[in-house]
Amino acid sequence: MFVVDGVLTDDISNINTADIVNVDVLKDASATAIYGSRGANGVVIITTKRGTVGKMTVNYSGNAGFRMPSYLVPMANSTEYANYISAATGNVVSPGTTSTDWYKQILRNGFQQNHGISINGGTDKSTYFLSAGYYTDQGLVIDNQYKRFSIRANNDFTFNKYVKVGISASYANGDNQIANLGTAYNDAYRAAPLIQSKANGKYGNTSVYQNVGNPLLDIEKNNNHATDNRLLGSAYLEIKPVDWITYRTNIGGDWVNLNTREYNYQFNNDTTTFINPGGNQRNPNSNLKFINTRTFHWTWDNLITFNKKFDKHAVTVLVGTTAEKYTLTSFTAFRKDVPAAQNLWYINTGNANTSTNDGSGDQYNRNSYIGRVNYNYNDRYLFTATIRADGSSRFPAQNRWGYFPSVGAGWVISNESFMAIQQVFDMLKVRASWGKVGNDRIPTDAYTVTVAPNLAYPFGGGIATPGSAITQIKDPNVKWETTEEADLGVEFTALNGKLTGEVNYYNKKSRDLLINVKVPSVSGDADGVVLTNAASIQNQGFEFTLNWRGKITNDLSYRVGGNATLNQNKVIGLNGGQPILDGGVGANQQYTTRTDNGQPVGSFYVLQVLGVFQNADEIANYKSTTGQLIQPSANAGDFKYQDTNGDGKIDDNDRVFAGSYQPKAYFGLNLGLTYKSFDLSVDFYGNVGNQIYNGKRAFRQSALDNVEKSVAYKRWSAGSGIQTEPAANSGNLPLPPTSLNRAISLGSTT
Amino acid sequence: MKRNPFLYISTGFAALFLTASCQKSFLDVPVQGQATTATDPNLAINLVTGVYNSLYNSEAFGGDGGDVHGISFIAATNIISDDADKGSFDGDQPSLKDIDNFTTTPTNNFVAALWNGYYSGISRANQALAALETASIDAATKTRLIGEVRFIRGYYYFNLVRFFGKVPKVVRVPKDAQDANTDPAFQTRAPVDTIYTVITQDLQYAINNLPLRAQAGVGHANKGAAQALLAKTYLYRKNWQQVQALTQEVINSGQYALVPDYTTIWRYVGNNSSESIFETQSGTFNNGDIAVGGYATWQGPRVGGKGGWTDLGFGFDTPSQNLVNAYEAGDKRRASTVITIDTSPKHVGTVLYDGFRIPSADSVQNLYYNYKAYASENPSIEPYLGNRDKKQKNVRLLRYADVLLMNAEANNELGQSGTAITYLNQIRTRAGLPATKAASQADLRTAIWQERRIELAMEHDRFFDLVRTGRAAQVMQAAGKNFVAGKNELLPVPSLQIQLSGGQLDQNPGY
Repeated sequence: MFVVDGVLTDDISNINTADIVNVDVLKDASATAIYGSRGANGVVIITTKRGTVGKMTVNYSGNAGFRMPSYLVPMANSTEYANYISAATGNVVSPGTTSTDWYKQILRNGFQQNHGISINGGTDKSTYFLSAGYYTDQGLVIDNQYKRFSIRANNDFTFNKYVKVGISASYANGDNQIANLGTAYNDAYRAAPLIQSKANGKYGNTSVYQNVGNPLLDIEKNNNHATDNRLLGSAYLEIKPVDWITYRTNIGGDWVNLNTREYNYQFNNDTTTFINPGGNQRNPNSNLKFINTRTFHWTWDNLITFNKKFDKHAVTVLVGTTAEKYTLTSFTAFRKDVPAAQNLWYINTGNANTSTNDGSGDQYNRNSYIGRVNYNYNDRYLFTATIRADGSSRFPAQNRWGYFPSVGAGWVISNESFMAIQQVFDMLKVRASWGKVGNDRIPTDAYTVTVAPNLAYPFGGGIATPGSAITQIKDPNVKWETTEEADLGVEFTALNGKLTGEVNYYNKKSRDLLINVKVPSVSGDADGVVLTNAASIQNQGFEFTLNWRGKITNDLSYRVGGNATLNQNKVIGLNGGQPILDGGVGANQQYTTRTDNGQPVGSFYVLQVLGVFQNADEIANYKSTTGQLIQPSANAGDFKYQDTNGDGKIDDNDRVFAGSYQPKAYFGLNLGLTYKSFDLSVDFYGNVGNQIYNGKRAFRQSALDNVEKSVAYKRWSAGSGIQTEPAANSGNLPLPPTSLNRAISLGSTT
Repeated sequence: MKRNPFLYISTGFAALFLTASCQKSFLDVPVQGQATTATDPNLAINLVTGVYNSLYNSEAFGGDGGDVHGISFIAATNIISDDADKGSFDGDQPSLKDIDNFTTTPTNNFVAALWNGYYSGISRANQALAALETASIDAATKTRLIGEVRFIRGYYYFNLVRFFGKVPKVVRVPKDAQDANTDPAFQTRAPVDTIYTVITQDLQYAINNLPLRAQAGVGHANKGAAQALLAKTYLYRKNWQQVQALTQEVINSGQYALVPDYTTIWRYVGNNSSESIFETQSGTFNNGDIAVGGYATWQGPRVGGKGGWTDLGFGFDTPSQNLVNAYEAGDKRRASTVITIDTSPKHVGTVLYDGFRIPSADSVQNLYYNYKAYASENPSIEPYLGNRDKKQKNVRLLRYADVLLMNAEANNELGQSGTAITYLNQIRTRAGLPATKAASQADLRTAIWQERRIELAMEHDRFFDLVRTGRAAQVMQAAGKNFVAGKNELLPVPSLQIQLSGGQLDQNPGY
């Protein structure tokens, strides 16, 4: 969650980065306690610039750059494809003279630029900050472009020593030309390289090889455009009746109006569109769809702070309330046969007989009470305790309120008198904290049995009678998910500020996890899952940070920093429920992951591929202990699976755990060089220990789909010697289709 | 004026108090934009329409609601039999090929979709029945609606028991996930006899409370439909007296007659004809087509070879050579059941009744297609608003010819061959065939079975009929299929469901 000048939001995409003066990340339990459930996954506090007392100053900043795709899966070229397909189908395919790299056809290097101008200044009574920004970003996919214009005004007024008010407001207009990425990417992975993409305004007909669409046409024959207008603002009033009491009330609002317009051009599969006619890539009727979504989210905080010092004792007491409300309204309008000229892309120009519309709404409210005490003895011993009561409309009345305490303590060892004799540490602090936070991030209809409308039936034909059905089982007792976190840490600054570092241990236990649990089909739940409090998980680990700053000359300084996180995630309880099976890939109902006791969440649970049968003897020799052929219907070139339970056949019971998508460690390295007012920095970050299930490779949609270059070269064929990929004609779907250990590869990103 | 700071403090506390005092109503937010059982005044009636709507369920790939009459149903009734092949090209949908070849495993997605689809429909029926119990509508309407819902629930259980044998008996709505996960009724399979009792009771209630076809309203379940369906369940129980009595009542009701031209039965012009006993309805909703999803398109003729034409579908469930060979010479039904692709060197192609020309074999994937599933894309011939996935096709689930053949079979088994021959010949005459030559009970039995195959070809009856009559293994093996007696009569229980039951659901033998 982000807090922008006191306004809570999940989306900061339309905040001008030039306006940001400070970003704070709160992680430990006592720091996030003040944000309660809203900060369950951490809080990022973003503060924008405010005016400063003095003469008016004007600032300009700008930058420009390019983006390019870092890595693309190398696909087989025409010759490799022709060889593979000839082997797969038994029909000899000629490679021809064209070899199209479909990814290249739809990708480009994207240009981006960012400009910002700001004015700030003020007097003792009032300060101001005004800014305007303009940002454009060409996407990597042709036809994709984002533009944003934003303005901001932050003003503060001090009436007298008792009263201060301030206002922050920003407006952003985003304009997004969206490319038909999903279809085009999928088609680019599948399309035959033998076909040319486009010539003389006509497209190559990729459907000749099993109804794969031309990826370039996928993008060019539709126009998807989104405009969002967003107002984000807050106002506060601060009263200090005496110098040790502060009352502050803050009202924030976040208003978004998003308009999406999708236009699909009419085109036929004849020679007006294609070099060769035929296939199913066509759109007999143009169509236009508008989607309007409006959201409004307000928050209102009231806090009173009492701040007193008695000799070496400093005490701060805070009490307050927060309230918030979120509403969403959306509607859709659709018509066919809208002319192709862009100035006619409005609903009224379409064929009224094809009109359809739809809409939906959403709302949730939250209310909290907070109390916090901070105690500080002589800047050596620090103590803090918080209690909050969170109420959320997402839970039924009996479970609406959750109570979440936290405590924290710190010892600044470096301020002790016995530390005066040493020269190494400038600051050394030990701290510990414990706390609970709640999570209410679930749909607003989780506990209410709802009736699905418009399940119609036309008795005797013609226009159907609307009907309805209750298709979802709900948990009427759904309640707060609670995360209990304990932290222990040491931080230090040493060698005259050159070396800083931090070591932190954390242990988080989440109980009553709000997750979708699969239920048997006989229960009648249409999607087979029910949202309920099930399972407990634990995350524990260490975080290390070390930074070194050095000076070479007065003008030239450098810095080196590193950080690492070791994390262990495991399921510690399923609340008596069944293991959670999930992650079905593509066209079947199977699962790829299993969340079970003692295993990381979402562990891959698949058949183990032992290799590829190199010859008939290997199949004949692959027997169970009772002499039963384990894969009797296999052919040379097929996958050989592990018969894990030794029952002589390959089925679901032979699945094994094969790691998790969750990294075991994260690390980062940053280097910097500062010369006068120029700054150069390089950051590296990465993670290790996670597995990736390559769903694309797990199954091919048709025998004529293109293949990855590596598959084309490593496939088994008679006389090929030992190879790791199955024969081209082994049937592209291993048994069962998604349970393909082969598709798992070690993931690491840098 | 000197401002009193304590005024501000009290204002502050007033503000705190204000948010505190309205907390109860502030957090009481009803779900937006979704009706609840309390907010719909016509809940019960709407839920009944929703039960009919479940006849459309056709999500074969894990989508909500599963598959009742879509490709999974087509596969488990037609493709599995000797009447049809999987179709399309060889590598397309290997799980359908498994069904065709009897290599189906418990992870087959189409089998899972059937289990989901039928229980999803049964759940809608149970929800509707629960709502009807408390609905404030007049008693006559109430019993009629209950009868309609119980007819559909009975039909669903009849298909389930034929697909899977023993299945869980679910006749009530689970209270919540806990209930669904723990009540043994939801977790274990009831004996086949118990399921047949559920079916019999549901259909008997429908018979007692539903009006005849003429009074029931087109498309609604009615007395005759319930009698015909109950007769069919008794056919599977070999209770010949009941089959004979119930079919005779349908025949004597005067509500039904064979249409003169077999060709029209499955076309738009034949929707809800005099021969129709129960069929899914199709039409329009929200300016779009509404029908069983993909029924026509999954079975539509498919481009292949040289391509170059806009095809009509995915080319599955193609009539087999075995079926084509089974027609007697001169049988008019063949041309209205099978679209035959032109293999002649003249390349004249095949012109369908709506004028659509399919090119000859070198541009087409398969040699035969199911004509009964065909729906025209020409809106001047048959209604079509352009939604290929919902082409307006009524799926004929029960028709009068089936009733006549059931009656003939029951009478033959009861030794009344004269009546049997009369009804059998009614069917044969319409098909342009001479009267049957069969005379002995055994010959007549074989003749009736053969007539059922041809008359109801591609109408989701053949495989069940072979299992019912104990011929499945012999006929399938003769047709070159990998059928294992004692195993392949039933589909496997989906493995995911067994896992979700904590292993309490047992598997069918052999899987």
